[in-house]
Amino acid sequence: MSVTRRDFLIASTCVATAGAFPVVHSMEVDGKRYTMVHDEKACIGCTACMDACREVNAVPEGVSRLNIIRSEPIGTYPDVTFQFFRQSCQHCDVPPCVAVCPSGASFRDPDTGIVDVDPDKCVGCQYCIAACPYQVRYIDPVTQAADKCDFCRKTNLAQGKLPACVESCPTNALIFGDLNDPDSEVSQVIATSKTYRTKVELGTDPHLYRIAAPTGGNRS
Amino acid sequence: MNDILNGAFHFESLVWHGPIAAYLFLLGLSAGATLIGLLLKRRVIQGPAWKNGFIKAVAVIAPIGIVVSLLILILHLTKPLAFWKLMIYYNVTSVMSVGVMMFQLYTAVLFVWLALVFADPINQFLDLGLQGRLRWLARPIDRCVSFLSRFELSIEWVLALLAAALGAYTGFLLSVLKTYPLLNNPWLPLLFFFSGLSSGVAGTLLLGVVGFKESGDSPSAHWAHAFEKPIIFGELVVLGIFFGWLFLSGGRAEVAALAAITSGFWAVVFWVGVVFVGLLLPLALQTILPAKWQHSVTFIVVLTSSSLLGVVSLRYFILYAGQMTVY
Amino acid sequence: MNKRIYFSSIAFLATVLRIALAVLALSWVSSQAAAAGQTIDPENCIGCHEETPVLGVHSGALFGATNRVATCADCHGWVTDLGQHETDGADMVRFDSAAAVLEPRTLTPLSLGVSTIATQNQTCLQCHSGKTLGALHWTHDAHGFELACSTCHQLHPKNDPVRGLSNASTIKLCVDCHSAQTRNGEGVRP
Repeated sequence: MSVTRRDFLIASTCVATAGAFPVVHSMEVDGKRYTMVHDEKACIGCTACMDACREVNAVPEGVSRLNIIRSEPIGTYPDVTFQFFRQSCQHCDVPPCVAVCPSGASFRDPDTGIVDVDPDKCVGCQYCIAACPYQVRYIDPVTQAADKCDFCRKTNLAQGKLPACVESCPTNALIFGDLNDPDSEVSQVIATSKTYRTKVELGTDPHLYRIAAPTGGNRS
Repeated sequence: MNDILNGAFHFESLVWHGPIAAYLFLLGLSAGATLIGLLLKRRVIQGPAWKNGFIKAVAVIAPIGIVVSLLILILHLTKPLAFWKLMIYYNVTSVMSVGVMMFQLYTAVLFVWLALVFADPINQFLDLGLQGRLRWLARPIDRCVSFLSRFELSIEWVLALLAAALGAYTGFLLSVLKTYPLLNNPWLPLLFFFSGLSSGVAGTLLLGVVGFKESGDSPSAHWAHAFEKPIIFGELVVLGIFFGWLFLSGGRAEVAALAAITSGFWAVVFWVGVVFVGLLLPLALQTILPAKWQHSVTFIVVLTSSSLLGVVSLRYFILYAGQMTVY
Repeated sequence: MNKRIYFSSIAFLATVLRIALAVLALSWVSSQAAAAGQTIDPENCIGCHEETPVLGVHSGALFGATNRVATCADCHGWVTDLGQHETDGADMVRFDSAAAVLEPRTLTPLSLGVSTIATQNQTCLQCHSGKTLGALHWTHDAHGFELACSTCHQLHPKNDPVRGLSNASTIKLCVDCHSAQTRNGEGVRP
């Protein structure tokens, strides 16, 4: 069977268009990549960030978007230190919660890199809660939809302010900004300090970096 | 005792609980029964399929299985009344979404196939039932059926593929969860496929012999027994590979596997329910007991019940023990 | 001998004797006072520091073995040299002087300021174990000897302001102090 030139041109155009679609879909054009750094050396574990988050985002009792986990005391009185670990959404570049959501309610905003939930589309199957290896998602008892930290996307960020946790920190232990901007504070901190992220080997590419606290000895 | 049970069924990292295990079991049962029904109809049964007790059993188990599992799924949602959104919003990267698509197709094709298989009795019922009041439906339905029966072979192939896919889907659903190293295993879909198939055989045999009085000595029963043995054997092999992969992967996977099968309530469920009652006992009974005993109703009831118990135990074990260890 | 001379000499002797006895008595008292140890009975502190009673939980604190109530001296130390004490109070343990403890009646200014953190805290540790404090609230462990106990705790008023603080108030306390620290450029990330 011979193929006419016309058929060939039509077929190749279709293939090229189909092939281009996934490429266009995955590219980020001029989007920000909001990133946060938790400096565990500066963190004093006061949990002001937890309170501020709850207040600003009207998080109901019984669930939490943000937790500061205090370690067991290291050392004996009076030479004791603690390590504080921030548990909250990592806003991954490859979010497992977005991949598994059957209705597309869990999505990644291409303009900001923030992972958020559309409560109207969410049916509450809890697949995303199981899929998140950082275990930061919960079912909101009021909306019955899945929810988690959204970097104050609908609250503070929408008003041009920094996320509530960042604003409330008395020791400036939280740094927030656009990783795509090399001049932002967050980019410079990540470039100059020794940072670590958790569960990177799962391929999630998280955007919550941490500066490790030294164990024992003088914290300052 | 209370504390042990409490700790086994309620722990911090638990997201999906009991109803999901039931859903997994029923879905596997339905898919497995459908495959058995298709195989029986094509390979074993002589004459009209609908007269066979096992086909009747499949006609009960397969649709009820899928409908009840769907109901469980809907009721398990935190927003059950929003379930219809899953039927208009899709996400091709989500195993659950693909499953929902397959679910709907499978249910439709299953009902069509059952209508084709039971065309004669349905026609009779429409003709004579309710003092002939349904006769006006008889002709249009008859014409639909005779039109579709031209594609019977294609419909059966599609149904078989969908049933097989759904049987494996239950495994894929859990295996993409990177959070739980026990579940994040490439062998889980195959394990659940074999498990679903064996529950399908067991369920069909049980209901066919007990409910529809099919003889335990019929060609269909013989075939089902013969089919069951390699399935159980296959299940044992895949179970071994499943845990072998976990142990050899090291790290959290190894820790999770070791904890799951050596400590606590679920280890007991695994060894007693899954391995002994579900796999070794049926295999032993079929191998050791003389052939003439193997066709009595009692034997079939014991055999199929232990098989089914084993499959239920497997689904619960994988779901609960799997969620106990987090990466 | 003349009777008048006789009686006036007796009277003179008696007077001398009385004066001598009085002096003896006085010197006996002051010699007692001058002896090493409990020169001033803590019961008498209120004599000069009349507006500084302890109304909080330490007012009834008992020492288990002897059933003795805690006194001023148990925390502030014993007065061994009244003269020195009245001059500058250097022998005392001075806690946060900005707290609800008033100047003594004698109006001698407290020019020495508070005692060192180590001195202050060691006083409290005489009765309270560091381990128990840490278990009670982790901030005891976190601050250790970097902060004097008296910075947060006030024992003289009826209610110690940091006991029974709500969660929100506790957080506010952390934030107030540490943000001041950060503003002064003392933190890790000023």
